[in-house]
This record gives sequence, structure tokens and C-alpha cells, in this order.
Amino acid sequence: MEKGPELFGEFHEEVLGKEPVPVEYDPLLQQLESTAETREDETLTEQLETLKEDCIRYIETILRLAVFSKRLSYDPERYRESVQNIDELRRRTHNVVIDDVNMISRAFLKRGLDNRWREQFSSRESIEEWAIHIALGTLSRELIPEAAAA
Amino acid sequence: MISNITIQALEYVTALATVYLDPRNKEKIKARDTLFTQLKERVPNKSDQEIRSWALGVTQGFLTKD
Repeated sequence: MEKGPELFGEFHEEVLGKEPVPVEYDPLLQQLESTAETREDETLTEQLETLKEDCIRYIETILRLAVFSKRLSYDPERYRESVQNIDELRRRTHNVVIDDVNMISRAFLKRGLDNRWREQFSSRESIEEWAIHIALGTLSRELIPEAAAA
Repeated sequence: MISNITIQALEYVTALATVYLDPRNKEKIKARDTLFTQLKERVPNKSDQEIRSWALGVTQGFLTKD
């Protein structure tokens, strides 16, 4: 099941008292990028870059939805309208990420490369989870030099 | 209920994503930096890099329940 606005209320632990799990660059993405780089395959490299951007666009909408849910909860009318709009955008960006993953999988197959990695993403939820790891790992690598070196 | 510090971390990471997608937009960069300053006030005992890493980790925990 996808994360809807009603689920965001479940995250309620005190975050200051404990360290979160560190964000790491996604290992499968790294492997796919390495394959594209070794082959000097510009098309595949561009498709992977597009996937990263679309994953970031996707989590941006999820996070905006979460923040709006919190910030506008005092104003039911504005809340309903804003959340509906962002939720629709979230659904669309999720579909774009799924299209990206399918395109990359087909590109691997077309080149005679192993595309069995696609089998682990059999549901929308599993692609959502991967998209979150790709997006946060990419942002982390941009911001934190140690993550880039990993 | 989500704590305010979590919301601040989520807002900051949202701004990071926004700037990644539109890196030359000065207003978005300014908004990101303002959110970072506000977050820093809430977590004064951490370095800038630690705060960035912490905010990303909190967001990961929120989104994936890791």
C-alpha cells in the first residue's frame, strides 16, 4: 500500500535522543551506474541520471505532502485542497519513476546485460522504497564528502 | 503526531531536493539556507555536516521506517 496522508501520523518517536541510520548511496544504483560507465554507454548513463532526478522529484512530493499535512491541519478546507493536489502529483511522479525503471530494465535487456535486478521490484511499494533510497543517497553524496567517497 | 524537529528536518530535506532539481534558483537556495539556519538553532551541538547527515537520516527513517 502506498503512503497516504493518513499514515504520516504514525511517526512519533522523539528524534533528538537517538541517531538515525546513516544514509548511504544505493548499492544497486551504484552497480548499474558502474555498468554504464564501464561500457561508456552515454544513453544508459543519461537514463540513470533521469531516474535519480525523478526519484528526487518523487520524494519532494512525498515530503511536501507530509509537511502540508502537519502545517495545514488547523485549516480543514485549505488542508483538503492542498493535500489532494500534492497527492495527485505524488501519484504521477511515482508513475514516472516506474516508467524509468522499466525503460532501464529494457535497455539492459536490449544490450544483452543481466536485468534480473528488476525482478525484486514487483510492486509499486517496492519501487517506492528503492526510489527513496536512490533520492536520499544522491542528496547525501551531493552534500556530504564522506558519502561521496564511500 | 510528528514532532516539530522532525517536521523541520523534513522541510530542510524537501528544500535540498528542490534545489537539486533547480540549482540556479536563488530564491530556492535562500529558502534552503534559511531552513538550515533554523535547524541549526535546534541542534546546536552538531557540526554543519552532522546536521545535514542527521536530517537525511531522520527523513529516511520517516519515509522507510528503517
